Amino acid sequence: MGTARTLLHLSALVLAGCADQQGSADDAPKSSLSRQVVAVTSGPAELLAAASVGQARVDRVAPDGAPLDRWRPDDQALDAMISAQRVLVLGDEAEPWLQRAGLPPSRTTRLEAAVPEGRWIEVGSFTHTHGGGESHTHGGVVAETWTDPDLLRAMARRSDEQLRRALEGGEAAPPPAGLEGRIDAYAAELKALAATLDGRALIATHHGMEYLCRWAGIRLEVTELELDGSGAPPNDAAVRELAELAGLEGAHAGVLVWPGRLDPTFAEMAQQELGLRSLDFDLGGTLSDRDTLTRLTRSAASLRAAIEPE
Amino acid sequence: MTSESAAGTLLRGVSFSYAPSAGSRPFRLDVEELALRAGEAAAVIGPSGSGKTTLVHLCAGILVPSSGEISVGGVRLDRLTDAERRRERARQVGLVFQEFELLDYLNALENILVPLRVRGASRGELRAGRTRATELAEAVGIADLLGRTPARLSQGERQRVAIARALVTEPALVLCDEPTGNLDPDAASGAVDLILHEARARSAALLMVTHDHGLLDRFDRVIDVTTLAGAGGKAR
Amino acid sequence: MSGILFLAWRHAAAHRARTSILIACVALALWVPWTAGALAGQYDQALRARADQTPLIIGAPGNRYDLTLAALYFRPSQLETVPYQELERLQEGGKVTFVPLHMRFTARGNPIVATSIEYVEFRGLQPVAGRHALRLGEVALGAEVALALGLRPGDALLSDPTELYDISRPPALKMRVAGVYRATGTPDDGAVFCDVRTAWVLEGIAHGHAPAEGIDESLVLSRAEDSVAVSGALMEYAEVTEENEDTFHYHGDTALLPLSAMLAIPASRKDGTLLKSAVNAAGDLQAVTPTAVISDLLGVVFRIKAFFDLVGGFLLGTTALLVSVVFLLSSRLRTAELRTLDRIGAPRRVGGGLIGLEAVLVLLVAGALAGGATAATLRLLPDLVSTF
Repeated sequence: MGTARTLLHLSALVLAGCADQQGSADDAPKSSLSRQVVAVTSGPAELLAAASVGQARVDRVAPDGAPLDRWRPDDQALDAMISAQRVLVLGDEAEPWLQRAGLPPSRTTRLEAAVPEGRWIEVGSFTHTHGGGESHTHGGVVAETWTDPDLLRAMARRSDEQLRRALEGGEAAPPPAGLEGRIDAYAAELKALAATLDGRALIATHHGMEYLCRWAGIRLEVTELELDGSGAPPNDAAVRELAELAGLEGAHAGVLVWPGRLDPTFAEMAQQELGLRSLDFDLGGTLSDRDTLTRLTRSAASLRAAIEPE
Repeated sequence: MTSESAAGTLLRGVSFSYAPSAGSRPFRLDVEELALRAGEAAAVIGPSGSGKTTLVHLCAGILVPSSGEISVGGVRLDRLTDAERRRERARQVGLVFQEFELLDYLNALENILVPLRVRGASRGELRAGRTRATELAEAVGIADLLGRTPARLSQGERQRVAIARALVTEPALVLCDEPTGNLDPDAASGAVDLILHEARARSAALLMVTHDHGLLDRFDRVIDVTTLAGAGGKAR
Repeated sequence: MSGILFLAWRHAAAHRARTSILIACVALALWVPWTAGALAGQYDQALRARADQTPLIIGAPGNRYDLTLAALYFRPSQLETVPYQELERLQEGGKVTFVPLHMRFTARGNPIVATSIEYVEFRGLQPVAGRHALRLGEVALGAEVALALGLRPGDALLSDPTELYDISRPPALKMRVAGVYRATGTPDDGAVFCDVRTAWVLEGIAHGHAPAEGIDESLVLSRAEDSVAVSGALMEYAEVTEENEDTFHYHGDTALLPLSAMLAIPASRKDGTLLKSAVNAAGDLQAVTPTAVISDLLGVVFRIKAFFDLVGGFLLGTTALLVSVVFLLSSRLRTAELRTLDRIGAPRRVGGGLIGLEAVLVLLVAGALAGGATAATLRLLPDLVSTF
């Protein structure tokens, strides 16, 4: 009987082992988000995020001054974005890196989605070289939609709705000075600029001012000099075009507006040979110590002051 | 029960009959009186079919008489139930068969201990039984063969195992049914002497069926089974 | 009783070949149904667990089993794709998180699951080496894929070619291993994960550009004033590198980029119910509850299993009968032995006791062996669920 008892015990142990075949744990942890912040990579996004949730809950992921079309997030920046409660970005047109980075769709708000179909400005694409150098292509969709006050308002409404919903339950600081009022002030400045121009065209070095000029009814002439500070010579065809335009008295405001980086050498040449005074115009796309609206409004005011008759 | 067989075997007024097959003449064995003292050795003779094996089976309690009394070691077998008779048989009766009938899957020692196992001996009884088995094996000259199975033993060695098996329970009665039938004369003589010696040494009564009349003088008594109906066995 | 047990044991041990064969037959007859039953139970548990964890799946209208198996277990699917704009449209609702899934490609035979970081978060995938695959051209490997292919972060993995006859596209994409996930015991272990944008490169919808100067003339298909078309057939693979990453872009409306399916993770059961009703009512998509679909599927599977159980039962019954015949014949052969024991004084039913106990011994040993074999089989078999 002792032997039988032993065999029974052995069988029980073995059969018990058969039952111990659990699959892996199904207690998969859900999102480990712990940062109740809105991650931003551009000036307009920061402006709108701060207006909705307060500056304290805005996390700047890109460095100040990083060019929107050329900045690419490193691993640290990507981690910061995916761990944030919300990411506020302009969109593929303004920030091409979005096409190549895996941000979470459910936590990413693209401001460009607020731009209605048909409101985008496209410029014809063309390819050329600079006197035998590498060829490249220009044109496509102009990205600086936030410079249009109406489009900025639309973006603000979209981001406000999504950000408040995403961060509800957390402490939301009251928004600073009403955004609507500040956009109104900017819009008034643009109208004043248009009035000062009185039909004369603004000459700019790239298409970034298209939206604000369209909104304000300002005629814009763009000359793609392609001076990016690398030392490469300007686009010859564009220089000739500029010279012709500069020669048309009364057709323009006598200024060369640089929405991008101002090239001092060319600016001096333009002043001396073409009689065009170069002026910076900060479109407010990048992150900076001043917010986008402040920069836009001041730029518009400075431009108006520069072209006002003395 | 006579005083002579107080501790031995006694059959008195036993009558047994059965019909071997339907329609055949029934076989009948009657024993008026047969008594064996403890330590007494009796040979049983008679023609084939005269009832020698039947007598052995009656003494062992394998068969039940239709009438009469059978006592072995002071126990009335005829009054017991089948199960009780089996237990008494395993305890009180040692059997040596003509074909030895060892279990081929047990070794010599295990074969010797079979009577203890079949009656459900306790561990203590088995331990004591092993001691007796070893002593018996020494006595019958197979002490160094205890680990072998019957297939690896000679005829004579197998018979000694059978003898030791019959004696391991220290029975009151040893029954042998032609134990030398398959042996040559020398071996047969040696086997009979061995059985007689060991039975007498243990004060067990011995009843041996044999056809070998040359060995009859070694027994205390010769019983002709054909005469049992009239009188007891005659002592030589 | 112990004496009879001893005799039964010794008889069984003395007839090793016969006893071993009997034990083997019985053990085999037990092992097959036990293992099948245990495996079926494991499958049931694991498949249901996977389905239970997934609230809703949304995809193109069609076979719901197809859609569910594709989304949960990355099985090949014949369903139409869903444009990405559907995900964006549904996401506007706000109360449900939608996770894109694209499973049209493989890498060394393993499904490439192109998705978003929400999938990884939802399934609780944690990198055991490296990090998540967040950039174009990066992949993060399930534990079994990494083990089988011997890959670590920093290594490369080529996708499997699908368009052998489209010579304008390279046959494969060389992807960078960004990380390896911890084993989960789910189909995720057998997958290669990447961002959904990488899938669009695989589709050929997105591509990058290389400088035209210095290209081998034999690869050139055509030249125009401002572009050069290069044969993809003669390039071994395309690759997203640090140098060319910025050149990758899409042609056409990105809202139309294809998805295989979407997971929907509602904030509440009510939100899920409302979503499912709305999607199914609209008709251009279908929303399915995985638990219900898998239950249906398992119902069919287990009806088939019941049939095999019946067959197994017959096998067991037949084995039992044959074993009985063996013991019956054995008892006939042991007539003389049993008679001897009877005459020595064994209990009346010693024969039945001996045979019966020997049969019980055989059954016990066979049962123990079958149990051990079942346990060993279950442990040694590859995790069939994760490779389902």
